Amino acid sequence: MTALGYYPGCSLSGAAREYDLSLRAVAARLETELREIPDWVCCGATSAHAIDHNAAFCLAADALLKAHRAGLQQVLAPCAMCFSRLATATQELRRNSSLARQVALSLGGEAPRLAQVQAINLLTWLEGFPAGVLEKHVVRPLKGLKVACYYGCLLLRPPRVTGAVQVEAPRKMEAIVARLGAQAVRWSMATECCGAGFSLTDKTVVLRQGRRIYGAARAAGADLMVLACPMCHSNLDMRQSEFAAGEAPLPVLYLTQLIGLAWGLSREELGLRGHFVPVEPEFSAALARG
Amino acid sequence: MSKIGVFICHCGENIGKTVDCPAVAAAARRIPGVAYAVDYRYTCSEPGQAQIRAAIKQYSLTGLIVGACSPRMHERTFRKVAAAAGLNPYLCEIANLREQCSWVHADRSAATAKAIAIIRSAVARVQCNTPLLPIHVPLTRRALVIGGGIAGIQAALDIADGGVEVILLERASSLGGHMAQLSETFPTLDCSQCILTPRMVEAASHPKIRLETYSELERVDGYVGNFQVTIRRKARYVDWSKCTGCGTCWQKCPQKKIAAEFEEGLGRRTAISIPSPQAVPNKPVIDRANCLKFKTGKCGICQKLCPTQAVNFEQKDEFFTEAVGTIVVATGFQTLGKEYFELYAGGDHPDVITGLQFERLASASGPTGGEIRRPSDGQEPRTVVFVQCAGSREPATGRAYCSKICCMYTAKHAMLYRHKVHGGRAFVLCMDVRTPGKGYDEFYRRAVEQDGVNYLRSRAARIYPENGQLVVEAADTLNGGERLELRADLVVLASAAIPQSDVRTLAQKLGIGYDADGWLSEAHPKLRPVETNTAGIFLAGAAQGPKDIPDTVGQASAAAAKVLGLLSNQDLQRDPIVARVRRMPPPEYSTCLGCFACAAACPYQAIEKEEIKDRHGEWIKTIARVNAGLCQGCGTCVSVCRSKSIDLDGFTDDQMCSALEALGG
Repeated sequence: MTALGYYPGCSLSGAAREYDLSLRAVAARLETELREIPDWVCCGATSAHAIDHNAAFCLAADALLKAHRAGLQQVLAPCAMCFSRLATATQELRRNSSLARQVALSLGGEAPRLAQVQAINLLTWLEGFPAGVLEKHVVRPLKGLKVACYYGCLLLRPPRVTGAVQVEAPRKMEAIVARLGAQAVRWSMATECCGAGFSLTDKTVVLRQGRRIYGAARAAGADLMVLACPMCHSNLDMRQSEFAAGEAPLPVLYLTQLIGLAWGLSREELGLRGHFVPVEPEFSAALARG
Repeated sequence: MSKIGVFICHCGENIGKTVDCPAVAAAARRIPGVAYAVDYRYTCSEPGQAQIRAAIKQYSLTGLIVGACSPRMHERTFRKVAAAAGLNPYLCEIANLREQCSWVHADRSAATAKAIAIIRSAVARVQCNTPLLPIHVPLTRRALVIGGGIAGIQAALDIADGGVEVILLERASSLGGHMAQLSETFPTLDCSQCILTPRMVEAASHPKIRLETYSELERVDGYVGNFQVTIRRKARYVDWSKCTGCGTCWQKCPQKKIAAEFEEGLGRRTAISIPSPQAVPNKPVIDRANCLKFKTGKCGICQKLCPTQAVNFEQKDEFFTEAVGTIVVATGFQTLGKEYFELYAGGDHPDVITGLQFERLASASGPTGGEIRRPSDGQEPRTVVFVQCAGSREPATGRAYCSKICCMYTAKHAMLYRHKVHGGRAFVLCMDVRTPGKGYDEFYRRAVEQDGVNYLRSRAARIYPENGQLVVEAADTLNGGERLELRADLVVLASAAIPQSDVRTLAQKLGIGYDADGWLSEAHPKLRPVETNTAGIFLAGAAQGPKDIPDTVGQASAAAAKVLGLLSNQDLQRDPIVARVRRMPPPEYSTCLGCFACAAACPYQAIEKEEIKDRHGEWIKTIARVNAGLCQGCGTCVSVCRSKSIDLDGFTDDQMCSALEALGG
């Protein structure tokens, strides 16, 4: 059993509970113990980073500090926004010593230790498994399944924070999907913004973006879409009935859910019932077609 | 007692602001052995130099110290001043008060104290200096030009017209380079082939030019005036001395579907081929990877049909070595391929093409005979979108520089398209339009005003296919980044000019520098733009940085002038900063034991064996001897010599130790 710090963030404890469920199920099969950071608080992705720069860093730094105290070197932040905040904080605290001092003051010392914890996202964690590890659990190869891999913004951008090399035309998720036997389609909107920033202020933007992403995935022949961000998921899943009313549904899955399906995990374990666009019967039908 | 003159330069404010120069001069006056010391605002200026010349004569100086900038900058200048006043130039030393003192310190009193210490050290050193005489080395009056594009052709012709023999090396089978691929050229729209091919023929037929095409530089030895270059003549599988260029072979070759490099993949060629009908020399080579004879052992049609029995499948690469005095590097550039642009329709859509591909479409000798037809279905595109700065000026993707040629060639492309396709719409997406050059802005305005090309200040973000067209999404940068969407039948990327992929290997073979992007480095960006930091090696054309044809030709002629200037000397004078094996009277002759650790350490193969014999010719001992012509004065041998038998003139142990001891006080 390998221990890995786990920062679920608010989404995975709420609206994206199925992401949390499926991640835990997958981690268990990968013999990884997800150790939740004790007493974690908000990552600062909400209004904090728009209103108070220092407060935003304090929130992220608090999580990092608690992880450090718990003896964790790496923290998996499955939510792309949490990952972005934690990674940005680590980098800024390393680079900006006056910020580090200020944050340490607010949190009660230990400035130098704040930046020792590394936040990683789902893709970084999964691609760390050598060839054969993800593959050996596959009981239901996804042969013929056409998958649109959707990255959104914060999994890869900005590259100076995420360290991603291929930002414009990424292939990380595609590589993981291929290891499950599925076929990643080539499409044009993989890194387009889902509009989440406008979800409360200007819904028309969100609907327009959702429409474009949905349309492009359909045009590329995708049977379903996978992603790794709760905000993207809620926009593309929950609002699909608005931006693609009356059209063929396109199931939107977390990457961990697709992995779980290939590994034959149960629908309950993967939280598949929590979706607005039902995964079944589309998924089985697509597999049968393939 | 030595009489040393010390001249402290303020270098404007560069030194004077941080170092109290009058105080340094005053302190210098008190150093024993110093006869005269003074400070001056610009010692390198003519009045400053005159001051030095006058002092040398007036005080009969035996040594000279200039406290100024780095010796890399003005050591030569001040040594010439010394020589002009009758002082051996090697009795002049530079004390670096700028790079090693004023520029790196802020505290004035501490910097002044350090400057005085530096001067004290230089005085101690120069007291150990001895007059040295320049070394004369013979000169090979012959030049090598690497690269047979327009830069290499121009340089070779100019050198040859100056009466010097030139070897013109080109790795492709024909001369011409990128310019041969171009359709028309800005800003006059004259046909590229029409102005280039006569020059190719001229180069090939010039009595002083020896053409070595389909050949590459293998290694370089020697030094300025005396390079030994080894050339690999790649196997052509055709005996060019027999071949008449009749064309039977490439007409009959059954392998006809190979993507032609010269056509940028838009046309096809055979396995035995010439790159274009205008090739010089007009002789084919066999592409081994695609030839049926090599792949399967069957075929050999070309060999059967050749009327002169020129085809020879047994041919091997040949190596030969030539002596040349100078080298011109004119290896050119390449452009980013479209596969680099994954956001632009995945980087492999047939109707997203590069600027060079558009040149082939527009060229009368190209795959479409000069008609603009899109590669996917051969239809005439009704709307063409030109994307400028594709890969250039994007630090985030690795290139911060401007490729320089794209604004002009995009204006030309859009213009040519509008001339050829009446009613077609041309859009140019640009960051801005850069047209410095004679007649250039007029040309661009003509595209806008007379030829109706639509320029949109915007950045293309993404291109994707939809319903047989390409959707170009862009940000309108004049309107707060508002989204622009254009539907195009053909997209042309003004893809960045980038260095040749193997330029680093080449630079390492030649011992010349290159910058972080891979462009070859000139010795000085303003004042020595065609020289490299390696004596005798010059640069021409886009290998040094993106350049259009006029600039390339200009630089090639400049490089040729440098070559002719160098080779106009009877022999070469070199700095006498060379290593020397210490000798002493018999019976020791030398403390050298003949271990030759120095020979193993020398990077220039400058250590020879010298046999010492008595008057009857009886061998006494073998010791090392330095070939002053080959020695570069690096001092490596000095540091490995176990018996301290080697010394470096100009940097002797005495000089260095005295300088260090003086610092210690």
